[in-house]
Amino acid sequence: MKNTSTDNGCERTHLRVWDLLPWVVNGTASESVRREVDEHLRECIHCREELVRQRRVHAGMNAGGGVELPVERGLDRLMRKVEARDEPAAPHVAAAAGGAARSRWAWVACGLAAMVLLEAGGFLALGVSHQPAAYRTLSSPDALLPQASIRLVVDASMTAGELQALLVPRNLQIVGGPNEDGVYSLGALGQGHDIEKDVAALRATRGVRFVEPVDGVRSAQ
Amino acid sequence: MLPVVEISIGRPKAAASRSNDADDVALLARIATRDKAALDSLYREYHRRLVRFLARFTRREDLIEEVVNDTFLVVWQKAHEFRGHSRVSSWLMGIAYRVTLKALRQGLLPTESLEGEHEALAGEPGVDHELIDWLNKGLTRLTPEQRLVMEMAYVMGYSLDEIADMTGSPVSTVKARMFHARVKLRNVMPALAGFAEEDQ
Repeated sequence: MKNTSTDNGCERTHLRVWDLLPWVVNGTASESVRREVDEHLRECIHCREELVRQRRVHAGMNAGGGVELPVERGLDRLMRKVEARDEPAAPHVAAAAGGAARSRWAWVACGLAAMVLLEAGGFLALGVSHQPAAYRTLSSPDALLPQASIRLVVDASMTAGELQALLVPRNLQIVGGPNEDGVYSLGALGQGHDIEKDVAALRATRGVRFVEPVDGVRSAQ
Repeated sequence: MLPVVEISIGRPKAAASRSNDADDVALLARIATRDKAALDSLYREYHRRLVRFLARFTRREDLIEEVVNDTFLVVWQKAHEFRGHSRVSSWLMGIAYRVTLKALRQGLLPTESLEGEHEALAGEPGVDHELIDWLNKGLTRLTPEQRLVMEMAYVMGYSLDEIADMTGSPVSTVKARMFHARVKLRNVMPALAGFAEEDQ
Protein backbone atom coordinates (compact mmCIF):
# COMPACT_ATOMS: atom_id res chain seq x y z
CA MET A 1 0.00 0.00 0.00
CA LYS A 2 2.74 2.41 0.94
CA ASN A 3 4.59 1.75 -2.29
CA THR A 4 1.43 2.24 -4.33
CA SER A 5 0.75 5.50 -2.57
CA THR A 6 4.29 6.67 -3.25
CA ASP A 7 4.01 5.62 -6.87
CA ASN A 8 0.77 7.53 -7.22
CA GLY A 9 2.42 10.57 -5.67
CA CYS A 10 5.37 10.31 -8.07
CA GLU A 11 3.02 9.89 -11.00
CA ARG A 12 1.06 12.97 -9.99
CA THR A 13 4.28 14.98 -9.66
CA HIS A 14 5.46 13.68 -13.02
CA LEU A 15 2.24 14.71 -14.76
CA ARG A 16 2.23 18.08 -13.04
CA VAL A 17 5.84 18.79 -14.01
CA TRP A 18 5.20 17.57 -17.55
CA ASP A 19 2.34 20.06 -17.87
CA LEU A 20 4.39 22.95 -16.50
CA LEU A 21 7.52 22.49 -18.61
CA PRO A 22 6.50 25.05 -21.30
CA TRP A 23 6.35 27.78 -18.68
CA VAL A 24 9.71 26.75 -17.30
CA VAL A 25 11.02 27.00 -20.85
CA ASN A 26 9.56 30.47 -21.42
CA GLY A 27 10.82 31.65 -18.06
CA THR A 28 7.49 32.59 -16.49
CA ALA A 29 7.19 29.72 -14.00
CA SER A 30 7.33 30.83 -10.38
CA GLU A 31 10.31 30.12 -8.18
CA SER A 32 8.48 27.37 -6.33
CA VAL A 33 7.42 25.69 -9.58
CA ARG A 34 10.98 25.84 -10.89
CA ARG A 35 12.26 24.23 -7.67
CA GLU A 36 9.69 21.45 -7.96
CA VAL A 37 10.56 20.89 -11.61
CA ASP A 38 14.31 20.88 -10.94
CA GLU A 39 13.86 18.32 -8.22
CA HIS A 40 11.79 16.05 -10.43
CA LEU A 41 14.13 16.43 -13.42
CA ARG A 42 16.99 14.96 -11.42
CA GLU A 43 15.20 11.61 -11.31
CA CYS A 44 13.01 11.63 -14.47
CA ILE A 45 14.74 11.11 -17.78
CA HIS A 46 11.45 11.47 -19.68
CA CYS A 47 10.89 14.98 -18.38
CA ARG A 48 14.53 15.87 -19.03
CA GLU A 49 14.14 14.77 -22.65
CA GLU A 50 10.86 16.64 -22.95
CA LEU A 51 12.48 19.78 -21.52
CA VAL A 52 15.20 19.59 -24.19
CA ARG A 53 12.56 18.99 -26.87
CA GLN A 54 10.45 21.96 -25.74
CA ARG A 55 13.51 24.21 -25.60
CA ARG A 56 14.20 23.32 -29.22
CA VAL A 57 10.61 24.06 -30.17
CA HIS A 58 10.80 27.35 -28.29
CA ALA A 59 14.07 28.28 -30.00
CA GLY A 60 12.73 27.29 -33.40
CA MET A 61 9.60 29.38 -32.98
CA ASN A 62 11.66 32.41 -32.00
CA ALA A 63 14.25 32.15 -34.76
CA GLY A 64 14.40 34.80 -37.41
CA GLY A 65 13.45 38.41 -37.52
CA GLY A 66 9.98 39.70 -37.14
CA VAL A 67 7.88 41.45 -39.73
CA GLU A 68 7.98 45.22 -39.66
CA LEU A 69 4.86 47.02 -40.77
CA PRO A 70 4.61 50.80 -41.09
CA VAL A 71 2.68 51.94 -38.06
CA GLU A 72 1.58 55.20 -39.72
CA ARG A 73 -0.19 53.42 -42.56
CA GLY A 74 -2.07 51.10 -40.23
CA LEU A 75 -2.96 53.94 -37.90
CA ASP A 76 -4.26 56.07 -40.74
CA ARG A 77 -6.53 53.25 -41.90
CA LEU A 78 -7.70 52.59 -38.37
CA MET A 79 -8.64 56.24 -37.85
CA ARG A 80 -10.62 56.26 -41.08
CA LYS A 81 -12.52 53.18 -39.92
CA VAL A 82 -13.13 54.72 -36.51
CA GLU A 83 -14.52 57.87 -38.12
CA ALA A 84 -16.74 55.81 -40.40
CA ARG A 85 -18.10 53.83 -37.47
CA ASP A 86 -18.69 56.90 -35.36
CA GLU A 87 -20.87 58.56 -37.96
CA PRO A 88 -24.32 59.01 -36.44
CA ALA A 89 -26.70 56.36 -37.67
CA ALA A 90 -29.50 58.74 -38.68
CA PRO A 91 -27.60 60.87 -41.22
CA HIS A 92 -26.02 57.70 -42.46
CA VAL A 93 -29.41 56.22 -43.06
CA ALA A 94 -30.78 59.41 -44.59
CA ALA A 95 -27.85 59.77 -46.90
CA ALA A 96 -28.05 56.20 -47.92
CA ALA A 97 -31.81 56.04 -48.09
CA GLY A 98 -31.90 56.72 -51.80
CA GLY A 99 -29.43 53.97 -52.54
CA ALA A 100 -30.72 51.50 -50.02
CA ALA A 101 -34.29 52.02 -50.99
CA ARG A 102 -33.50 51.90 -54.66
CA SER A 103 -33.79 48.17 -54.98
CA ARG A 104 -36.75 48.00 -52.66
CA TRP A 105 -38.75 50.74 -54.31
CA ALA A 106 -37.30 50.57 -57.78
CA TRP A 107 -40.37 48.98 -59.28
CA VAL A 108 -42.72 51.60 -57.82
CA ALA A 109 -40.42 54.49 -58.65
CA CYS A 110 -41.52 54.74 -62.24
CA GLY A 111 -45.16 54.48 -61.24
CA LEU A 112 -44.83 57.16 -58.59
CA ALA A 113 -42.98 59.46 -60.93
CA ALA A 114 -45.65 58.99 -63.56
CA MET A 115 -48.37 59.70 -60.99
CA VAL A 116 -46.56 62.84 -59.84
CA LEU A 117 -46.33 64.07 -63.39
CA LEU A 118 -49.96 63.29 -64.08
CA GLU A 119 -51.12 64.89 -60.87
CA ALA A 120 -48.98 67.98 -61.43
CA GLY A 121 -50.36 68.26 -64.93
CA GLY A 122 -53.92 67.85 -63.65
CA PHE A 123 -53.45 70.48 -60.94
CA LEU A 124 -52.05 72.93 -63.46
CA ALA A 125 -54.90 72.30 -65.84
CA LEU A 126 -57.63 72.56 -63.15
CA GLY A 127 -56.03 75.39 -61.17
CA VAL A 128 -56.17 73.40 -57.96
CA SER A 129 -53.85 74.60 -55.20
CA HIS A 130 -51.14 72.11 -54.25
CA GLN A 131 -51.81 70.03 -51.16
CA PRO A 132 -49.12 68.15 -49.22
CA ALA A 133 -48.60 64.84 -50.93
CA ALA A 134 -49.88 61.74 -49.22
CA TYR A 135 -47.00 59.74 -50.65
CA ARG A 136 -43.29 59.87 -50.16
CA THR A 137 -40.72 60.65 -52.81
CA LEU A 138 -37.47 58.83 -53.04
CA SER A 139 -35.63 61.87 -51.72
CA SER A 140 -37.75 61.95 -48.57
CA PRO A 141 -36.43 60.22 -45.46
CA ASP A 142 -38.06 56.80 -45.47
CA ALA A 143 -40.01 56.51 -42.27
CA LEU A 144 -40.56 52.83 -43.01
CA LEU A 145 -36.87 52.06 -42.93
CA PRO A 146 -35.88 50.66 -39.55
CA GLN A 147 -33.24 52.36 -37.45
CA ALA A 148 -29.71 51.09 -37.97
CA SER A 149 -29.02 48.62 -35.20
CA ILE A 150 -26.09 46.53 -36.50
CA ARG A 151 -22.89 47.26 -38.36
CA LEU A 152 -21.79 44.49 -40.72
CA VAL A 153 -18.71 43.84 -42.83
CA VAL A 154 -18.62 40.81 -45.10
CA ASP A 155 -16.01 39.27 -47.33
CA ALA A 156 -15.59 41.03 -50.63
CA SER A 157 -16.31 37.71 -52.30
CA MET A 158 -19.81 37.50 -50.83
CA THR A 159 -22.40 37.95 -53.56
CA ALA A 160 -25.54 40.05 -53.26
CA GLY A 161 -27.57 36.85 -53.29
CA GLU A 162 -25.58 35.37 -50.42
CA LEU A 163 -25.94 38.59 -48.45
CA GLN A 164 -29.68 38.57 -49.05
CA ALA A 165 -29.90 34.92 -47.98
CA LEU A 166 -28.05 35.88 -44.82
CA LEU A 167 -30.28 38.80 -43.86
CA VAL A 168 -33.80 37.95 -45.05
CA PRO A 169 -34.39 34.91 -42.77
CA ARG A 170 -33.40 37.06 -39.80
CA ASN A 171 -35.69 39.92 -40.82
CA LEU A 172 -32.71 42.21 -41.19
CA GLN A 173 -32.50 44.86 -43.84
CA ILE A 174 -29.68 47.01 -45.18
CA VAL A 175 -30.52 50.58 -44.27
CA GLY A 176 -27.16 52.09 -45.11
CA GLY A 177 -23.86 51.41 -46.78
CA PRO A 178 -21.68 49.91 -47.76
CA ASN A 179 -19.43 52.88 -47.08
CA GLU A 180 -15.88 53.11 -48.39
CA ASP A 181 -14.76 50.60 -45.77
CA GLY A 182 -17.45 48.14 -46.77
CA VAL A 183 -19.53 48.70 -43.63
CA TYR A 184 -23.27 48.03 -43.97
CA SER A 185 -25.82 49.41 -41.52
CA LEU A 186 -28.58 46.91 -40.81
CA GLY A 187 -31.99 47.54 -39.35
CA ALA A 188 -34.37 44.99 -37.86
CA LEU A 189 -37.82 44.63 -39.41
CA GLY A 190 -40.70 44.13 -37.01
CA GLN A 191 -40.86 44.20 -33.24
CA GLY A 192 -39.18 42.17 -30.52
CA HIS A 193 -35.85 41.68 -32.21
CA ASP A 194 -33.01 40.36 -30.06
CA ILE A 195 -30.10 42.30 -31.51
CA GLU A 196 -27.52 40.40 -29.46
CA LYS A 197 -28.88 37.15 -30.86
CA ASP A 198 -28.78 38.50 -34.41
CA VAL A 199 -25.20 39.67 -33.87
CA ALA A 200 -24.18 36.27 -32.51
CA ALA A 201 -25.82 34.47 -35.44
CA LEU A 202 -24.14 36.73 -37.99
CA ARG A 203 -20.77 36.32 -36.30
CA ALA A 204 -21.06 32.57 -36.61
CA THR A 205 -21.68 32.80 -40.34
CA ARG A 206 -18.93 32.11 -42.81
CA GLY A 207 -18.00 35.15 -44.85
CA VAL A 208 -18.88 37.60 -42.11
CA ARG A 209 -15.83 39.58 -41.10
CA PHE A 210 -17.19 41.95 -38.51
CA VAL A 211 -20.48 42.47 -36.70
CA GLU A 212 -21.21 44.93 -33.94
CA PRO A 213 -24.41 46.38 -32.52
CA VAL A 214 -24.75 50.10 -33.10
CA ASP A 215 -24.10 52.08 -29.93
CA GLY A 216 -27.25 52.84 -27.98
CA VAL A 217 -29.35 50.23 -29.72
CA ARG A 218 -28.16 47.40 -27.51
CA SER A 219 -29.03 49.28 -24.35
CA ALA A 220 -32.35 50.32 -25.82
CA GLN A 221 -33.36 46.71 -26.41
CA MET B 1 21.84 14.93 -34.47
CA LEU B 2 20.45 18.40 -34.75
CA PRO B 3 22.24 20.89 -32.54
CA VAL B 4 20.28 22.01 -29.54
CA VAL B 5 19.86 25.74 -29.64
CA GLU B 6 20.53 26.95 -26.15
CA ILE B 7 18.20 29.68 -25.10
CA SER B 8 18.23 31.88 -22.12
CA ILE B 9 15.51 31.24 -19.61
CA GLY B 10 13.79 34.54 -19.38
CA ARG B 11 10.95 36.61 -20.63
CA PRO B 12 11.25 37.61 -24.28
CA LYS B 13 11.84 41.24 -25.08
CA ALA B 14 8.26 41.84 -26.18
CA ALA B 15 6.86 40.75 -22.86
CA ALA B 16 9.66 42.33 -20.83
CA SER B 17 9.10 45.73 -22.37
CA ARG B 18 5.50 45.93 -21.33
CA SER B 19 4.56 49.43 -20.50
CA ASN B 20 3.54 50.69 -17.18
CA ASP B 21 0.00 49.43 -16.70
CA ALA B 22 -1.09 52.63 -14.98
CA ASP B 23 -0.23 54.59 -18.13
CA ASP B 24 -2.22 52.12 -20.21
CA VAL B 25 -5.19 52.38 -17.87
CA ALA B 26 -5.10 56.16 -18.24
CA LEU B 27 -4.99 55.84 -22.03
CA LEU B 28 -7.91 53.41 -21.98
CA ALA B 29 -9.95 55.78 -19.82
CA ARG B 30 -9.38 58.53 -22.37
CA ILE B 31 -10.29 56.18 -25.22
CA ALA B 32 -13.56 55.47 -23.43
CA THR B 33 -14.31 59.19 -23.78
CA ARG B 34 -13.66 58.93 -27.55
CA ASP B 35 -10.20 60.50 -27.35
CA LYS B 36 -8.55 59.58 -30.65
CA ALA B 37 -5.13 60.85 -29.53
CA ALA B 38 -5.20 58.25 -26.77
CA LEU B 39 -6.14 55.55 -29.27
CA ASP B 40 -3.22 56.72 -31.41
CA SER B 41 -0.84 56.34 -28.45
CA LEU B 42 -2.09 52.89 -27.46
CA TYR B 43 -1.92 51.72 -31.08
CA ARG B 44 1.71 52.82 -31.40
CA GLU B 45 2.58 51.10 -28.15
CA TYR B 46 1.12 47.71 -29.06
CA HIS B 47 1.50 47.71 -32.85
CA ARG B 48 4.87 45.96 -32.97
CA ARG B 49 3.82 43.33 -30.44
CA LEU B 50 0.63 42.48 -32.29
CA VAL B 51 2.37 42.41 -35.66
CA ARG B 52 4.97 40.04 -34.24
CA PHE B 53 2.22 37.79 -32.92
CA LEU B 54 0.23 37.77 -36.16
CA ALA B 55 3.26 37.33 -38.39
CA ARG B 56 3.54 33.87 -36.85
CA PHE B 57 0.35 32.95 -38.71
CA THR B 58 0.74 34.71 -42.04
CA ARG B 59 3.20 36.88 -43.93
CA ARG B 60 0.39 38.70 -45.74
CA GLU B 61 0.90 42.26 -44.53
CA ASP B 62 -2.60 43.34 -45.50
CA LEU B 63 -4.12 40.56 -43.38
CA ILE B 64 -1.85 41.30 -40.43
CA GLU B 65 -2.81 44.95 -40.57
CA GLU B 66 -6.48 44.07 -40.87
CA VAL B 67 -6.44 41.90 -37.75
CA VAL B 68 -4.47 44.53 -35.81
CA ASN B 69 -6.99 47.19 -36.83
CA ASP B 70 -9.97 44.94 -36.10
CA THR B 71 -8.50 44.48 -32.64
CA PHE B 72 -8.22 48.22 -32.10
CA LEU B 73 -11.71 48.83 -33.43
CA VAL B 74 -12.94 46.55 -30.66
CA VAL B 75 -10.75 48.46 -28.18
CA TRP B 76 -12.35 51.69 -29.39
CA GLN B 77 -15.83 50.23 -28.93
CA LYS B 78 -15.24 48.40 -25.65
CA ALA B 79 -12.83 50.65 -23.76
CA HIS B 80 -15.64 51.75 -21.44
CA GLU B 81 -16.16 48.12 -20.42
CA PHE B 82 -12.64 47.72 -19.01
CA ARG B 83 -12.99 47.22 -15.27
CA GLY B 84 -9.35 46.86 -14.29
CA HIS B 85 -9.64 43.22 -13.30
CA SER B 86 -6.57 42.47 -15.41
CA ARG B 87 -3.68 44.36 -16.92
CA VAL B 88 -4.53 46.42 -19.99
CA SER B 89 -2.00 44.39 -21.97
CA SER B 90 -3.81 41.18 -21.01
CA TRP B 91 -7.19 42.69 -21.85
CA LEU B 92 -5.95 43.92 -25.21
CA MET B 93 -4.20 40.66 -26.05
CA GLY B 94 -7.40 38.87 -25.09
CA ILE B 95 -9.22 40.87 -27.76
CA ALA B 96 -6.43 40.14 -30.24
CA TYR B 97 -6.73 36.45 -29.32
CA ARG B 98 -10.45 36.37 -30.09
CA VAL B 99 -10.09 38.31 -33.36
CA THR B 100 -7.23 36.04 -34.45
CA LEU B 101 -9.07 32.90 -33.39
CA LYS B 102 -12.05 33.90 -35.49
CA ALA B 103 -9.81 34.65 -38.48
CA LEU B 104 -8.07 31.28 -38.10
CA ARG B 105 -11.38 29.41 -37.79
CA GLN B 106 -12.61 31.08 -40.95
CA GLY B 107 -9.39 30.28 -42.80
CA LEU B 108 -8.61 33.96 -43.32
CA LEU B 109 -4.95 33.70 -42.34
CA PRO B 110 -3.24 31.60 -45.02
CA THR B 111 -0.15 29.92 -43.59
CA GLU B 112 1.41 28.65 -46.81
CA SER B 113 3.78 31.57 -47.09
CA LEU B 114 5.41 30.64 -43.78
CA GLU B 115 6.71 27.42 -45.27
CA GLY B 116 10.22 27.83 -46.57
CA GLU B 117 10.72 30.66 -44.13
CA HIS B 118 14.19 29.31 -43.44
CA GLU B 119 15.24 30.57 -46.87
CA ALA B 120 14.80 34.06 -45.54
CA LEU B 121 17.02 33.12 -42.62
CA ALA B 122 19.76 31.61 -44.75
CA GLY B 123 23.13 32.54 -43.39
CA GLU B 124 21.80 33.54 -40.00
CA PRO B 125 24.09 31.85 -37.49
CA GLY B 126 22.64 29.43 -34.95
CA VAL B 127 19.40 28.94 -36.88
CA ASP B 128 18.27 25.35 -37.28
CA HIS B 129 16.56 25.52 -40.67
CA GLU B 130 15.34 21.94 -40.59
CA LEU B 131 13.73 22.49 -37.23
CA ILE B 132 12.03 25.69 -38.42
CA ASP B 133 10.64 23.96 -41.49
CA TRP B 134 9.39 21.11 -39.36
CA LEU B 135 7.80 23.47 -36.89
CA ASN B 136 6.07 25.57 -39.52
CA LYS B 137 4.50 22.46 -40.97
CA GLY B 138 3.73 20.87 -37.62
CA LEU B 139 2.10 23.98 -36.20
CA THR B 140 -0.42 24.02 -39.03
CA ARG B 141 -1.64 20.61 -37.83
CA LEU B 142 -2.79 22.05 -34.52
CA THR B 143 -6.26 23.34 -33.85
CA PRO B 144 -6.47 27.15 -33.76
CA GLU B 145 -6.86 27.02 -29.97
CA GLN B 146 -3.82 24.77 -29.50
CA ARG B 147 -1.73 26.86 -31.88
CA LEU B 148 -2.66 30.10 -30.16
CA VAL B 149 -1.75 28.80 -26.71
CA MET B 150 1.61 27.62 -28.02
CA GLU B 151 2.32 30.95 -29.73
CA MET B 152 1.25 32.92 -26.68
CA ALA B 153 3.56 30.91 -24.44
CA TYR B 154 6.59 30.42 -26.67
CA VAL B 155 6.61 33.53 -28.86
CA MET B 156 4.84 36.12 -26.74
CA GLY B 157 6.26 34.77 -23.48
CA TYR B 158 3.07 34.83 -21.44
CA SER B 159 2.64 32.90 -18.22
CA LEU B 160 0.07 30.17 -17.70
CA ASP B 161 -2.17 32.49 -15.67
CA GLU B 162 -1.89 35.29 -18.20
CA ILE B 163 -2.90 33.00 -21.05
CA ALA B 164 -5.85 31.71 -19.04
CA ASP B 165 -6.88 35.30 -18.43
CA MET B 166 -6.48 36.38 -22.07
CA THR B 167 -8.29 33.38 -23.50
CA GLY B 168 -11.00 33.43 -20.86
CA SER B 169 -10.28 29.78 -20.11
CA PRO B 170 -9.53 27.88 -16.90
CA VAL B 171 -5.84 27.18 -16.27
CA SER B 172 -6.59 23.47 -16.71
CA THR B 173 -7.90 24.14 -20.23
CA VAL B 174 -4.76 26.06 -21.17
CA LYS B 175 -2.61 23.21 -19.85
CA ALA B 176 -4.69 20.69 -21.77
CA ARG B 177 -4.40 22.64 -25.02
CA MET B 178 -0.65 22.93 -24.58
CA PHE B 179 -0.40 19.25 -23.72
CA HIS B 180 -2.27 18.18 -26.85
CA ALA B 181 -0.28 20.63 -28.97
CA ARG B 182 2.99 19.13 -27.72
CA VAL B 183 1.80 15.58 -28.26
CA LYS B 184 0.54 16.37 -31.74
CA LEU B 185 3.80 18.06 -32.71
CA ARG B 186 5.76 15.14 -31.38
CA ASN B 187 3.62 12.69 -33.32
CA VAL B 188 4.10 14.46 -36.63
CA MET B 189 7.83 14.93 -36.12
CA PRO B 190 9.07 11.63 -37.57
CA ALA B 191 6.89 11.95 -40.64
CA LEU B 192 8.12 15.43 -41.33
CA ALA B 193 11.79 15.57 -40.53
CA GLY B 194 13.01 12.42 -38.81
CA PHE B 195 13.44 14.60 -35.78
CA ALA B 196 12.53 11.91 -33.25
CA GLU B 197 15.13 9.44 -34.47
CA GLU B 198 17.84 12.04 -34.21
CA ASP B 199 16.66 12.90 -30.77
CA GLN B 200 17.55 9.47 -29.47
